[in-house]
Amino acid sequence: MKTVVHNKKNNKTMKTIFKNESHSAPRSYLSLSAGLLALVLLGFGCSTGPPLPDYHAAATSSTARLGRGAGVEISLDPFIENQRTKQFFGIDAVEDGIGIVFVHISNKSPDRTLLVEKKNFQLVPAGTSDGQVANGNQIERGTGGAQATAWLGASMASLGGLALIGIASSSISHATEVQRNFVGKEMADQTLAPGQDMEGFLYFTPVPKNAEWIRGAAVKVDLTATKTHESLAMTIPLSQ
Amino acid sequence: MNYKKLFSMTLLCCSLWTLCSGCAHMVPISVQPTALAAGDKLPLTAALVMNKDLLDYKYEFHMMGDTWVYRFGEPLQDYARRLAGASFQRVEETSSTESAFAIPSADIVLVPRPVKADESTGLMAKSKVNLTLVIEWTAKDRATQNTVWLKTITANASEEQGNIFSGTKHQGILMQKLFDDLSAKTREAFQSASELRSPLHP
Repeated sequence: MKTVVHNKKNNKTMKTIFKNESHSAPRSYLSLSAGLLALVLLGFGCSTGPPLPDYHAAATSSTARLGRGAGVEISLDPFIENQRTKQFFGIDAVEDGIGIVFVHISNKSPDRTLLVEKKNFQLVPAGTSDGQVANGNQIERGTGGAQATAWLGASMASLGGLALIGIASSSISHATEVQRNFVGKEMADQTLAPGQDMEGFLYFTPVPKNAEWIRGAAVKVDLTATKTHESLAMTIPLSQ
Repeated sequence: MNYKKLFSMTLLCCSLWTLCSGCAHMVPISVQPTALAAGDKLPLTAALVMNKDLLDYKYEFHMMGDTWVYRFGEPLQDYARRLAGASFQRVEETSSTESAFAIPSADIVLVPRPVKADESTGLMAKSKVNLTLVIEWTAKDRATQNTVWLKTITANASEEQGNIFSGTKHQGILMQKLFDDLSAKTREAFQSASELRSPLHP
């Protein structure tokens, strides 16, 4: 005799593959779901999306601010549009209180190599004198919290069926990719020889959860000439 | 026992084991040396520092209660030795920065340092695994101990995850791609290091 499961929500009837009366309906459904999940894990699934796209700075950006001094040009472009952070970082960083700033540095001096380190970029919010050091590690750990959500999703999927498995898989893939993408796009510490350019992203957290975090704020930059140890400091406002 | 019941219970166990085991998995890393682009050797003797930070470096990837451990130390050691050897006139290995500064024949002290690694993945066999490894190279003038050159290399690789039968093969391909990218970028960085091409003390 077949066991019959009544789905109350859509009033449809689902016949399970079990004929043994000793099986309760929920257990059968659980076993079926788990079996299908196992098949998916064995390789019968769909693929997930590609890595988040690389960012190529536009020739002109309405939000970019320029600082010049002693043969060095530094452009800072804070990402305050939700659309840009979603496109290149996969999350609404503005709503999450993450300050993302794209940095482009040109060493136009004829004979001076500069040491560029993230720890020497400080965000100074409006009305304060203390800076907040750029720190990608905090962001990467923070976005890792999304994995916990993904874990729950996957657990539910194992109980709930194939549709949820797809959602959970996509969620896990997205959460881990967001985290990896932050690592991959972060500005690297390096020396910058005369005539060379470099670029990358700096992350500041926490910042106010709206685009207002740049109002009145500035970034203090301190570069060092490798031969003379001379310090080249400048403060670049993020808003006009 | 009904064979269908047996089949279902086996699959259930397989699923629960996969999702809830909470195990640590050691990811084997075996890579072949990358063919390096042709180029000149830098006219310097380097004291290459192979310290514990490099040798013991491992990355742990956590997902759904499980941990995958990538012991990068040994392949990073091979990579560093190979790249330094191919890029400098002469290389002497040492285990610490202090001992490197004490090598009188060395012009520079060369320190490779693993900064971080991260991975993104999905659940499905066709999912792409994307792996990023960040290595920083610092060259210090042995005489003055000043940093003369610093470069951070961000290597990336992407490969299909594979299923339980083909996963190991794809993991091997992923690691090879990662170290190929790392080696090529490092080679390029040394070749374009103008600070290391001219004499440190003219």
